[in-house]
Amino acid sequence: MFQLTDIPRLLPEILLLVLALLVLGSDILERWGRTPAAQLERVKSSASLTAIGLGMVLFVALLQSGYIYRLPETAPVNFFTNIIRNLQSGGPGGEPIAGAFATDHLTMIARLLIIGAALVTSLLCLDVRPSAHPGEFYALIIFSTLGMCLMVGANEFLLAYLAIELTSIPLYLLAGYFRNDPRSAEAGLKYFLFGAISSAILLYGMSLAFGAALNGVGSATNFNDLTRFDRIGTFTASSGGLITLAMLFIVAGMGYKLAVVPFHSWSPDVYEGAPTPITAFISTASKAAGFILLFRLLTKTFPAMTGSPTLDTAGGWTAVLAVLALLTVVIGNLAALPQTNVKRLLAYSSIAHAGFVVLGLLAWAAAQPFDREQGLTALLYYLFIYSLTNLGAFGALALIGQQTGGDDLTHLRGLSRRNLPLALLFTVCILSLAGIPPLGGFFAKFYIFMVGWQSGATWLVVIAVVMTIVSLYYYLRLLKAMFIEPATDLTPVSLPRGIGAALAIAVVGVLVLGIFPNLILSVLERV
Amino acid sequence: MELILFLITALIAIVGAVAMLVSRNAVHSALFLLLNFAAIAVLFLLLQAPFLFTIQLTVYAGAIMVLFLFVVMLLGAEKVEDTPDRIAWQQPLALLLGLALLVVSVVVGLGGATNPPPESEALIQFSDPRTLGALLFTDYLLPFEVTGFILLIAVIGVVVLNQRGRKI
Repeated sequence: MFQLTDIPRLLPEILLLVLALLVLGSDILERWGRTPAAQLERVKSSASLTAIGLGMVLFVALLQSGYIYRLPETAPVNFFTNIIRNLQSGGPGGEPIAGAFATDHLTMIARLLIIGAALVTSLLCLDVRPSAHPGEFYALIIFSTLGMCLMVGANEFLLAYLAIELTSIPLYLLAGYFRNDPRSAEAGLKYFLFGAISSAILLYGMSLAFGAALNGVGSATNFNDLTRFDRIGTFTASSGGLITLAMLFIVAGMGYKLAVVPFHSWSPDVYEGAPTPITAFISTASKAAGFILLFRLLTKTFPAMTGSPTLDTAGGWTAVLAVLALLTVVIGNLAALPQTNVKRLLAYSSIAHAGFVVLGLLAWAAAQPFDREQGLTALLYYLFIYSLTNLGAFGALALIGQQTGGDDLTHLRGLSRRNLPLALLFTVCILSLAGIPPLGGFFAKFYIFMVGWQSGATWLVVIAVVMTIVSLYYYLRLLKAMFIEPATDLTPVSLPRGIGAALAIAVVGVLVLGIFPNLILSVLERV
Repeated sequence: MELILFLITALIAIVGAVAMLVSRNAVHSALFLLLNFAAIAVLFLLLQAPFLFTIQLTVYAGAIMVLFLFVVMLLGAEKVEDTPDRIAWQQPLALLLGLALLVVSVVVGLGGATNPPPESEALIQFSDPRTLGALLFTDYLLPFEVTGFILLIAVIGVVVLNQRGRKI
């Protein structure tokens, strides 16, 4: 049952919704003109409203979670402390809202990650011109963020499915936003078709799980709450084949959304065709939300079939994920080697990174609760670092593509002589993706390999380490193009403030969190 | 009796779905889809869900199919051009793998249900429109609201995708 007192707990989501409607509505009040100056003004106003609004929502969510500042019990009662106290009363903890939306530490942390990623994306978009309807462009980004926030807290099949749709439909539209560019249109259509099919597969799995749970309930009269993850987990503990089938369908459906091999074939085309800031958003926030939903789905709905990633007779979902992780890490990295388009190269690199993230999920098979918690902490840390890094890398690429007219390796040539700060920022992001110490990427990889080792998947960790070394080749090729190869044209590339700020956030985050991981680990460990 | 009725309806549904996929004329495809929807509606009735039966008939078989047919006929897109598949081995392989998945699913599914279905009174109460409505506004309020946003986004999407080709 939904209570009125649950509204503060949903505050960030409600604010996102209000912001989206505001962006949508304020566009009507702008000066509509045919001159480029008037149109530019429209774009600027929508974009800055989005960025400022997302910044405020992020601030509210941060204050609400109480990770930075927690109001002490003994604080004096006045106007400001009352606001903070009311906000923080909706902080982490409590039963899931109406059984559907959990507001635990995991949701709070993931929410911060997603809203933060959306904020950086909106900064990247400050200098991108959608060909028409700027208000809708930014509103769709916020709607998608709202969907992701609901996705990470979803504790029930219906909400989980609808949240996935709320996330995906705006992303389909955004990927195909540049209708005049055939590649963007192709990306939108391809993303939509693959997304629709994967939703169908996911729904199939959900309905099978529901059926298996109904079978386990027997003659009980009340089966209204059987869509909740944990209820299904209780009633299907003993049933065999049906629930296994449901698990496989759900893993396959989520695998499409996360672009895990062999369900990855859409992602290079979509990443290449979509507007670059949107590519950054798809490859970070939506992937992070998907992984957290997958974690909840698997650990709560199928606790009895955890199995073991060592591929012995135990089976279970960790074994399935171990095979997927192996394929993803190997194929993602090998397919990235021959790419000449930087966006495609980074697309394959993010496929490979998804394989590393799966290692964190495998830790759930460990016998000790401590090891399982380590697995989740490593997973979250990896998602944070990966999101920051990829947002930075795609952000730099957005600027380069905009100013040099393309995003092939040849367009990167001589970037260090055209704009040294931009080249350096891009380099930090690439090195972090490659996992060079002392950047965040190194510690994230190290941590996730460690928990993977603990979970018993030693063979997988060995292969992943080898593949990390292989990945150095294609990352360093980017650096070679920027610093060593001669430039074909030496017109300087300017660094606008919006993208500059976004890149600075990403690079500072990667550096600080890499050198002092404890800053964030102390928060992540509360999950 | 019920089993025979189920088998006949299920057969019609499958035939409709397959015919929709293989028919070359878009209008025929839409009509086969209509047949499939109607058969599914009867299946809902067999599962003692009269409300879903009505919804399925009015919304899917009624409104959505009429819209489909309108669009197909307005665009004059009845004929599908026959384009040769560039990856020839893909289709047989997909059929084979799909069939394998189907066989596995059926075998597992038949062995999966060990308990008899719930009492029919509980089922009737479960599918009662009044219960459904009450659930939508209490326990499932959050998903219900989210559906509203999704519809709003669909409307925005139509506007956005209809943009005329002018650059800023």
